[in-house]
Amino acid sequence: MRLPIFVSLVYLFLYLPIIVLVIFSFNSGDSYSWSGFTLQWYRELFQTKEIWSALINSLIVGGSAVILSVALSVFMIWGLHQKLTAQKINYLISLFYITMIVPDIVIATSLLVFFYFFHVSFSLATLIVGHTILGLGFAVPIIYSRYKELDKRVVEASLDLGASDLQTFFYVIVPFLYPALLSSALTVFIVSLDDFLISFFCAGASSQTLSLYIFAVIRQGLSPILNALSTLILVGSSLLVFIFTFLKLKSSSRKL
Amino acid sequence: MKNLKEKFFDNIPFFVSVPAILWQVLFLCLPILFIFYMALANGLFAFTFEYFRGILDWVHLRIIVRSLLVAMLNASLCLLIAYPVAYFLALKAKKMKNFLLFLLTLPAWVNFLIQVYSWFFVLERNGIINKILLSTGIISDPLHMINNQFAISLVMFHIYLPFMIVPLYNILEKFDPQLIDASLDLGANRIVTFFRITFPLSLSGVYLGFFLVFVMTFGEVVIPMFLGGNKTLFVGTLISEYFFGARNMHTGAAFTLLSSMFMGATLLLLYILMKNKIKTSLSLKG
Amino acid sequence: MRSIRIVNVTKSYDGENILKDFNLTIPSGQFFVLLGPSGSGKTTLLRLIAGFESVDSGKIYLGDNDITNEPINKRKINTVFQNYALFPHLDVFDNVAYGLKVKKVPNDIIEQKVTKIIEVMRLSKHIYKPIQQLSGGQQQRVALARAIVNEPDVLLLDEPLAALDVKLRERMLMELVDLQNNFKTTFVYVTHDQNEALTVGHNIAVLNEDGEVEQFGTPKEIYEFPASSFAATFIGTTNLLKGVLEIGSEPKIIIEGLGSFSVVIDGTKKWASNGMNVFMSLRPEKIRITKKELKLNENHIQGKVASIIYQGRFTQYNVKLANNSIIQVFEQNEEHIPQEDIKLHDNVNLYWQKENAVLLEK
Repeated sequence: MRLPIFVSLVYLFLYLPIIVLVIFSFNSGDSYSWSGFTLQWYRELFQTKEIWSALINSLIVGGSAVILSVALSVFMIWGLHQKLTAQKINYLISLFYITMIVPDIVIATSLLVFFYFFHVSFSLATLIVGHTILGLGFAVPIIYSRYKELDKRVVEASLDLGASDLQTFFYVIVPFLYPALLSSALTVFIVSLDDFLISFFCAGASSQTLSLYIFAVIRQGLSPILNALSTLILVGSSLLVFIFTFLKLKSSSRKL
Repeated sequence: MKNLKEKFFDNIPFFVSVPAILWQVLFLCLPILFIFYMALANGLFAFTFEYFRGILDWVHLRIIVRSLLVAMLNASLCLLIAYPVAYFLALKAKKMKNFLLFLLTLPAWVNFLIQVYSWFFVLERNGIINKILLSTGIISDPLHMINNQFAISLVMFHIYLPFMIVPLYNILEKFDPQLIDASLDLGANRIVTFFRITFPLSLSGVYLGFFLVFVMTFGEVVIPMFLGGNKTLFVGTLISEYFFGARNMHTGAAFTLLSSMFMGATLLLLYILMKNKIKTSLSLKG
Repeated sequence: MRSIRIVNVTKSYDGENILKDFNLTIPSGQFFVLLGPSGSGKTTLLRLIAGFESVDSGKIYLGDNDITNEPINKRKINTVFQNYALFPHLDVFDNVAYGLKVKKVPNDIIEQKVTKIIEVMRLSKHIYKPIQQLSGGQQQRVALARAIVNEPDVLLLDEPLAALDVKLRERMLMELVDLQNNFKTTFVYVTHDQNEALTVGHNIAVLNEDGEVEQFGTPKEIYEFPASSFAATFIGTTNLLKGVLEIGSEPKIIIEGLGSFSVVIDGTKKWASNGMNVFMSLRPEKIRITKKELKLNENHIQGKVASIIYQGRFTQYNVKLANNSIIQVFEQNEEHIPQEDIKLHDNVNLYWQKENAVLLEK
């Protein structure tokens, strides 16, 4: 199967900086010129304590945002589906599309203003709040559109067979939503790790996340430690995506 | 006693669905209303236009217009390049499809800041492109590709291209290829088929992708900040300046409100224009 | 001329060979049926004629023109798809007008032709509705109108009635026959439903699972004189009895456990030789079933009724024979109250005339 040249070029373009980044993570100098192969930056990476505490913070925030976003979305959809008609649910759900219309900077600064006004001190918690807002903006549409694909007659069948609303929710609806739950979890996680603006405005001085650390380093100039970090993240996430795809394939074989 | 218990269980769905909505209202809608309020008020119910007057000058308007133009350019460019890629992925790629989709999502894992940062390696005076061009003798002086509009536009294109590809792919994936067969069968060639059948049916994806990229490009902070030198020429960077260190929040709020209005108006205008144009070109009534 | 000639066509798909050195001539101006089980290549053949696929080798002719390498949109052939493939963003009128619009026919002529065909299809009330509002049967008619309004030389129909319910299917079938009669376009109709084939076809080509033409002929020819056991069992139901041929003073078939029965060997059965293994195809409606023994100069077997299935127009008896095989018999329910009441486990006599059985080689 031949790839059209156009498509190949686009993919090449998308990967160009990343490839350069990976190559230069092995560069023994710290300039833009190649001066020989080395693993020193990887060694330095593992010795830099700030990176690891930043990473842990990012993981805490990311994990919390994922759990909150997905859980809130799923419960909301379940609650609504019990009580409201499809049309009314549609209206309520559009509340969550606002996140996409608003640029990140506006979300960040409005949260800043909001917390400032209520004298809430900035910390990981305020950051988690902000990231959950971002997360809901992705999780709700993803899960809702999967939910819309559910054949309501399956729910009726479950009730007909004697299951309660709660049982139907856990035994029928949630398994059906499973691929959407996975993909929204992954998306929210990436969005949270990647976020810079909200972290910049809403994190406390003591809660440095990965993005903030990277920002600080970049401001100071060239550092190949970042290259080493990115390469590792790239490898790690490829593995993660492989596992994720494997899980997704397994779950889609259970078709309702 | 029983009645209360039943009532409680009956209303669980309500209790359970409220948190998300509450969260959204409390932490998104309310803060935004705050900003709008701050743009127009100096305290409790002290409405004033002084902040707006402070920013309704050519300097500010120029920044807004520039951001709009760059956003328009970027979204259009992304659409042009992304469409063939999405088309290929959705309708033509068979064996490599999953792998290509995976490749598309992988760069998302590399931190956004780092991706912008890595363009330095490519565009700098001593960067890869200049190195290659100089050594092969195509140019004699290194190209100035960083800290200017070119770098900003290029990197914006690079970062937001996948955001255009994905919605297009999603809509094209649902496309029934038999419709293309039917169109050809009825006598249309491939070009006519694309404009009369495929493209109109993919419009919702086109709108979504264009919209997303436009909004994100308009409010972009990091890319102009890193690659544009130390000038604040874009809406995003200016807003960020206003709020950094919590100084000038009212003016910042006013500017935010003004920019949002411009952005909203532009998008609405575009949407109406597009809808009308497409309706007339498709109408086949004799 | 609107005939289709397929000459030595070979087509493989994903490494699997579907058609090999395939030859077929579809006569002009007829309602022609391509009948066969799934996987027999009939849809592939249709797609080759339409141009959606190209041949690996061989040629296709429309009349005297070689259209083998002609692109889809240039062929004067139109297709009605199994799931209609109506354009969802256009209404009924625009869907039907599409073919004319892209060929740049003037708007007033489009208006004229489209309104006329929509009238013929009895869709005038729905002419400006979005197609999603139409029922299955109505969408079917839009798909037909869309194809026919272009006045093609050949109309290809790929199991167009498969998605409709029985009564609607019967009605649409008759409408198709009328349409073909009126327009005299060559219809090439693909189906796996042999009832449809028998009802509408002027000529039928029966394809087997290997993508070969098993038999070509009129419905009656194929039904009464099948050329092989595949054709015999695919069209209608039949009893296939295996035995040894004996050509002596009178040709007979000797079936193990049952005895010998007279058969007729006509000129077409040149392969017939003494002592060879043959099949005898005997259609259930050609067998008479009685409790009383009759003095007839016909083939005769005795058996026991194993099951009875009432089918309205006729009753099906499954009769168990001496060698434990089962023979199906259809008896038309001519009378309200039959003279003879045949019940389960009754011993019965079966009679048939030797001319009504068909001798088959394979």
